[in-house]
Amino acid sequence: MTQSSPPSPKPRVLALVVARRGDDVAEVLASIDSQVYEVEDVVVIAERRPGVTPDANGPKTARRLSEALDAVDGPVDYLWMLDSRTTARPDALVALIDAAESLEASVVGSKVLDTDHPDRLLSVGGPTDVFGFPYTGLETGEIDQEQFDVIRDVAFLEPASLLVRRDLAEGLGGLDHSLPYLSFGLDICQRARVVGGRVVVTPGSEVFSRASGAQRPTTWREQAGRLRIMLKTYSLVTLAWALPALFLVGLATWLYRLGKGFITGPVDWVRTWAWNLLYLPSTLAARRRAPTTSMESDAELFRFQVRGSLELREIAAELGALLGAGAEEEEPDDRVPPAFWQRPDVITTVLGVALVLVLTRSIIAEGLPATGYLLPLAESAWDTLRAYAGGWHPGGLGSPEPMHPSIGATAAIQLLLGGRGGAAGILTVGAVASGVAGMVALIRRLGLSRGARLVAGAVFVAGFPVLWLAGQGYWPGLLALGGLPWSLLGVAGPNPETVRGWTERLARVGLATAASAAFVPLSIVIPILFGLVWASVARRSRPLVIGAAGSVLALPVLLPWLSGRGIAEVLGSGAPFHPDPSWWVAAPLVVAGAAAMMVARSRPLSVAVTGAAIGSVGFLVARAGSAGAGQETTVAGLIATAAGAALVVAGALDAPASLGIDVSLPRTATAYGAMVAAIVVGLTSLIAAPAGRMGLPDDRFGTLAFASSRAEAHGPDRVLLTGPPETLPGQHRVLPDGTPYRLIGGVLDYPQAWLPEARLGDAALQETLVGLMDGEELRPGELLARFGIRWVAVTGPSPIADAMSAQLDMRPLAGLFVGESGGVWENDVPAYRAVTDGGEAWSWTPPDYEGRQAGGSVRIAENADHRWGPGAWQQDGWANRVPAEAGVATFGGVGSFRFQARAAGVVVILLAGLSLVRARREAGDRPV
Amino acid sequence: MTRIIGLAVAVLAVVVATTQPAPVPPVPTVEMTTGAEAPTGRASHFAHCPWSRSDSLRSSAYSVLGEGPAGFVLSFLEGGSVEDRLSGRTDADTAARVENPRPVGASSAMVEFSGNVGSVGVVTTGEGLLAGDLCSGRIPDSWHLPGGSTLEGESLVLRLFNPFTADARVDLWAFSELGIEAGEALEGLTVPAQRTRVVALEELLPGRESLSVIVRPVAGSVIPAMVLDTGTDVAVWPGSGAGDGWEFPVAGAVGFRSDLVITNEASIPVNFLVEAFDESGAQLPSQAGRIEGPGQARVSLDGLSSSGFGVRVTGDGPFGAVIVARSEAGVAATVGARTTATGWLVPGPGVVGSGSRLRLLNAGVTELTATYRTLTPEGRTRANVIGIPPNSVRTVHIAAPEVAGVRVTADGPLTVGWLATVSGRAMFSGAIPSG
Repeated sequence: MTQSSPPSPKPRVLALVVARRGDDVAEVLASIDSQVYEVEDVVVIAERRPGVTPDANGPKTARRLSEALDAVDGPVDYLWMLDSRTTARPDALVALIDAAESLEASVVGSKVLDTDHPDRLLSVGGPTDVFGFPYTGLETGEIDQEQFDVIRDVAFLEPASLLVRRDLAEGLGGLDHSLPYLSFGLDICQRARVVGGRVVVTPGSEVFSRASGAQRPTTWREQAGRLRIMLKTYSLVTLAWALPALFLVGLATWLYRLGKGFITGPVDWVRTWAWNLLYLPSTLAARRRAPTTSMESDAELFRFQVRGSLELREIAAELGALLGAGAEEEEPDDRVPPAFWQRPDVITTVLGVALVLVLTRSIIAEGLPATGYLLPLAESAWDTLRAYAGGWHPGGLGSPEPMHPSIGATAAIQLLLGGRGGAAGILTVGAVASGVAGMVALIRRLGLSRGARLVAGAVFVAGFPVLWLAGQGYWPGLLALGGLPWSLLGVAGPNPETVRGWTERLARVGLATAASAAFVPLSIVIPILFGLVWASVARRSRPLVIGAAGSVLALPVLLPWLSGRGIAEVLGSGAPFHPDPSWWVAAPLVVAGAAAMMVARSRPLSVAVTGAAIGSVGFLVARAGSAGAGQETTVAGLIATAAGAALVVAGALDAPASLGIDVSLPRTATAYGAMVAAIVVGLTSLIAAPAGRMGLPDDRFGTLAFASSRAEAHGPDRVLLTGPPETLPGQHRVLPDGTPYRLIGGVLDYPQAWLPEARLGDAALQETLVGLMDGEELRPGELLARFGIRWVAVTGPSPIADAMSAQLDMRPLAGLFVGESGGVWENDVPAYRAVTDGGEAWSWTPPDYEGRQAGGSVRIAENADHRWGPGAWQQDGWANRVPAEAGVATFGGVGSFRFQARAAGVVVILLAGLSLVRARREAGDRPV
Repeated sequence: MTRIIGLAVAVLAVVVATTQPAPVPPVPTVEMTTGAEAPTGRASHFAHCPWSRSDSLRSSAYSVLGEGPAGFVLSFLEGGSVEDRLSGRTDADTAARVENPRPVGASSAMVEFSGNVGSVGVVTTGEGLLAGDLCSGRIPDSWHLPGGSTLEGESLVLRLFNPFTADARVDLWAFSELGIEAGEALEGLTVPAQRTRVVALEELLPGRESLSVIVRPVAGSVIPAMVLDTGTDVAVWPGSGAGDGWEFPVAGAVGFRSDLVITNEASIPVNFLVEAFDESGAQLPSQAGRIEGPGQARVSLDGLSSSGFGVRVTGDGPFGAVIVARSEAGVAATVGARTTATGWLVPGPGVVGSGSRLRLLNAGVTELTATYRTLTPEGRTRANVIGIPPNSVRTVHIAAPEVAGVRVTADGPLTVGWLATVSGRAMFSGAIPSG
């Protein structure tokens, strides 16, 4: 016969209400009263007496745990800690007691439900990472379907309802009231684990609390709290690597958040560390009071932690989702989800990042070369914007003509990023990365495979059109890559269902189109072309509408440049490009496109047809120089070719997969042929990888720095450059015999890349150069000095160089070469851009001239324009003369251009605002 | 249908694209001087004088005249800088003369005109020499200096004057009766900026009876002059570019044996025809010949006429030409005129104390009437009119020692030169077309 043992005494429980400032504890007290398991007493722990009606039967209060225990008559076995915002079911405590007794757990937590929506889960405990960042495993608003109803060991519990053994609580040295809500719970759990206590969650105990938002763990107070907990509980060995890692993770996180528009990221990061520095003495004191901090205790903690950083995982997931753009849902899978680095989106992201790093590593490490149109950004972004907004065009001998939109765009970005070289590098790498990401997202949106996405991304940014363009040094072409695929992505997306959705979609497409058109203005028509083709292929009319609307919305970004030049001139002006790809580059692309179009089915067919149409039309436009197309037109053609090539490759890669099983052998073979050809095209995009410079040529204009080093006190004067066109920066002019030449201000910068229409001074300079080449002139320096030309630099064979060999007043600078041949001559005659009647030179401080105040006038060697001032303006031949008494000469500006530039800025901000509002709202809804 | 339309669009676009020609580079709208066509040697804003000599026994005079009122600056460059600088003015009725601007030694100078174009000539007279010729104006791509010799007792010096700010490097192509002369010493000669390099050809290529040189700049520019010293007299003549035809109003003088030496730097041969003209207007025998390129040819003009005469040489390709005349005691040489003109500036006559002779050549078929006006520094001018029958030369004596230049105008195209003889020594000089 079995003898039953005597029943164990019923555990005595003290209820502790941890009051938060301003909270009413009446509800929590009521729910304690309603428990089926009677507590010994109730003590409210608070700095000040909580907001309850003061009467003799009210709860006891204490400032600390020790005071609370002293206030209780007799010993208690457990402490039931309740947050002041918590209410508990009547059986909550008994479930906790049962779990604690049966499992011999030291800390037991309740399942936390939403007070306002009692069927929704808020917390069921969970693991953390090594930095204490909690992982709830819940999606926002997840319904409680008892899916978590199992008692589990966890690393972290929300402190809404915790049952803690009294001896443990006393042994740990009390509660840490300096910690915020989540950290408060984590602190108890971690310290319990360190001393070997078991921490479990029992879903049978249900309490209710108010939802505090998904972003709560990322607040600086919680971050600071987690850092304090690490300092208190980890061994020194663990801290030695965990703290630097936390530092870097925090840095990466705030950088990422800053990029998303959360400007408080850096401030929070600083506050986190500053707070812990401030509280370091108390942290160290708590660490000393702790029973043990050793490798063994750390190991016990690590058992319930996930590897890596949960915050970084979140970032990776967001990036992955960004690349995927939510076009397709992953197949539901009941298996254990893969580790984050095994997730396809993460893999795609990593490969994409690796591709961008490989293609741009020299730019990242060494900066950008100065070549072609890739010139250093101006020293002052603000002054450049001033000049852009209706000010003086500094190219050549100057003009009131508006500057190229890319000058305004780069200056605006430079203003945001600060610095010159750094901003240009970030801009370039960012554009390439955005181009890859955008194309990956676009191909995903079009429903093709991951391999196709990545290869298409590579072909888009490093295929032959872009590499050819980069080889010509046409930097804006690279920058235009960043926006275009995002624009096409918006065009190809599903139709929005609401007015707000339409607004957001059009704003995004407009913004992305503007981001491309600001650098290659005529790329503004590519979304329309894409929309037209995709609408035909997909048999939907909306893509054309969206593409056209996006282009129209982006149109203001071309102001005032477009209004100043006119459509006809934009289409036909400038030296056109004429791409001539090698057969081994073109043939695989043609084969891939043709084969895919012949045999592919479904989405791959649509994508290949779209790509072929856009690419071939783009290629035709790019080679239409002899038919009257100008530089901007041919560049836009090349960009369209790049996009088309990427789509063709993507379609060809997925062609075999589109066929199914009941397909003839020739058709299958052709599909695989398309795939192989596409792979070859993809491989050719790695041509730029060895140099790591996106195909940009070597630095060509670094040697022009001599102008600064040889400048007089007023700063560098002008340099006349002549040589083969490919050796000259940006645009150039041509003498009647075809000799290329151009003027640059002493400090070569991006605003000078484009030359305005020739005016009076330019004609005079051309006449002078022709005379010089006739061999009639022995003193060219005297003539060139009138134009402020102090140096003649020859970058290669040029008739002007021949003329310089027989003259008397320009000294060759021995040993100084700015090209493979030629040389540099320095004017013996004072050659100033601005000089007073007294012969004193003024400095060029773009876009103004400054100098010592003087009587009389100052001659400004810029093309004559009546808006130069201040004071009475006089025309001096082709130049200007203004009073010198102000000590400054400025260009008054063109009011209409200024208005248009400002309007363009407002439109861009508006589009960005509409897009970002949406992006931020989505980020806020993302599951934790 | 989608795939067919797509394929058709793509194929059509790609085919049209691949047939697009590359954009044509800008077409020249202004005819420029090319290397094949050398400057015509008209008056210019500058003149380079690679040689003059002054010492206690010899004196040099620079004669300067402009097409109209002009200022001029005469700069002597030595040792990489301007050693001395003189300036002056001329107007329509004056010619300037600068005598012995440098006290001792050989000098190189350049003259810059302002306000108008002009011309300069240099004459050096004194013990054992009478020499001079025009200063060079425009600079051709290569310089022809035919007519030298390095026989025993003769000195042949090539002066390479670089007045410019950049160092120059030149190659010398030398031709003699032995053919093309080769040697490292003739290649890559550097002429530093604002200096003159003297190349002693009698040391490099001694014993040549006929030695011609073509100076080909590799980098920069130089102005060359050849100085031939026979021991009893000196002849100096400037370099010239190549031309398809040359006229020499001064091709011979009584008592002198003249040779026409022509050079061809091209690799294709040049066929030439030499016609002679004397004061009688009679038909003188013409000579035809051929220069295998590159190389030289020497045509003896001995016996063509008992009096002074001129010649015209025309070819079917560009060539350089010089007349070299010798007597027992004297030697003279001059370059020809590449073009005929109705106006000429003649710097220098009058410098030689015994007087000079202005020679006018009308190689055309109609008679011309020419007016020559003597110009002095003081502005005393004297004009005379002379008729020149077709195919003949006329010689005018300029006896006034104060005459620094002569301005010639005619009612048709002609060429002009002048010569002087003193004690068996002689000098020939050309003139500069104007107008």
